[in-house]
Amino acid sequence: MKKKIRHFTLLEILIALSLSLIISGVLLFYYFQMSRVANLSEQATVRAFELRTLQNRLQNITLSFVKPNNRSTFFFQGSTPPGLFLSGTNTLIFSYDNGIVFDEALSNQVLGRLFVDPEKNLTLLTWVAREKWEAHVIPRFHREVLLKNVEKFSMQFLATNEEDASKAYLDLIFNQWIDHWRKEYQRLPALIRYKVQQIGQKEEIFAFPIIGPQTKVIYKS
Amino acid sequence: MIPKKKKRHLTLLEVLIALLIVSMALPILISSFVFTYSEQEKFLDEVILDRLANTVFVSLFEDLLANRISYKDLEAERETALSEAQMGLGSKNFEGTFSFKKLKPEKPDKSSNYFVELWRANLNFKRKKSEKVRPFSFDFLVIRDLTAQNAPKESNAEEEKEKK
Repeated sequence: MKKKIRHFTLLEILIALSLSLIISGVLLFYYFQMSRVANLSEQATVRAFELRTLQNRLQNITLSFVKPNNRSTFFFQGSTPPGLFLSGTNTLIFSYDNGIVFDEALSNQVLGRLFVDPEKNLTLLTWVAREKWEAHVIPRFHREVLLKNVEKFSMQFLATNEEDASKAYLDLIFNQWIDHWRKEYQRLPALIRYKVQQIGQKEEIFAFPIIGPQTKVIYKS
Repeated sequence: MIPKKKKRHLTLLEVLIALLIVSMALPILISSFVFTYSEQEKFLDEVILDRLANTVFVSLFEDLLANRISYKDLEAERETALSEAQMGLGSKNFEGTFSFKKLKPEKPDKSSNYFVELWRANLNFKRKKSEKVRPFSFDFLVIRDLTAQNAPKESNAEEEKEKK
């Protein structure tokens, strides 16, 4: 007599199904959690790298500012006519020491401009030094995008009391942050803050001391 | 008639051993992910702290330039906790301290009224609820001009003249 084969009961199948559902549910939950964390972590790393690179570049430029004399060297905030610059952003024109680079004309002392272009790129434009400009010839320049998707860019300056300064400079309030730096000051500030905000991100502040006689701590008592 | 061979099913013990092996392997698989993540977090901390230290130093330097930190406070060389305002956005995850130390000259020239000194600002940061400290240091110059303070007063000189 053939032995009767025992099949699974409906209850057993249901239990097996619910167990596998629970296990696959837990596994899927962990998988999605892990991929979400990995995604966020990657985004954070990319952003941290971008900001780190920007900090290094801004620091290098800031430490190389050259004292302005308004003939061959400059340091002031320029105007930002629409079309060339993103409206609502600031621009800084300055002379700085670019060190030794491949293009000999752009080595050593050069003229720089920090601004946000209409495509929302925080840009550093470097020209050859002002005294090397020739009449009717567009001066050589180098364009460098420091950060993309920038919607706000501004600066703040801190001035200290200096002897033999221009009248415009002496009218400043010292040791307080100010939003504008005019050509007539003919001085470098002691400290500078760059405020940068990318689309959908919080504002980031980069602050640096500027090397020079204006950046000295003096105690008279 | 050939008797049908009886199928041998898995015993409970075998199933439990299998489960045990699987549960031993899972943490190893997960730990590699956790390790990568924690290493990435440490690296991010380094990057964030580097920028934070720079910002905090500028804030301290601003106070030094305006003499809001007195020379006596500098000389005290004591470690002070950074306030939330000084830490800015970094105060959410980190806490920090600062202290100053004079590097040069070790022994000042007492006959002079004008000193140029090299100082170091030491900043220490750590993630909240963590013990690992990340130190940063920034050097700066301090000028002590005591010429006016130690100069003989004109009124005193006049009084002495009158007495004579």
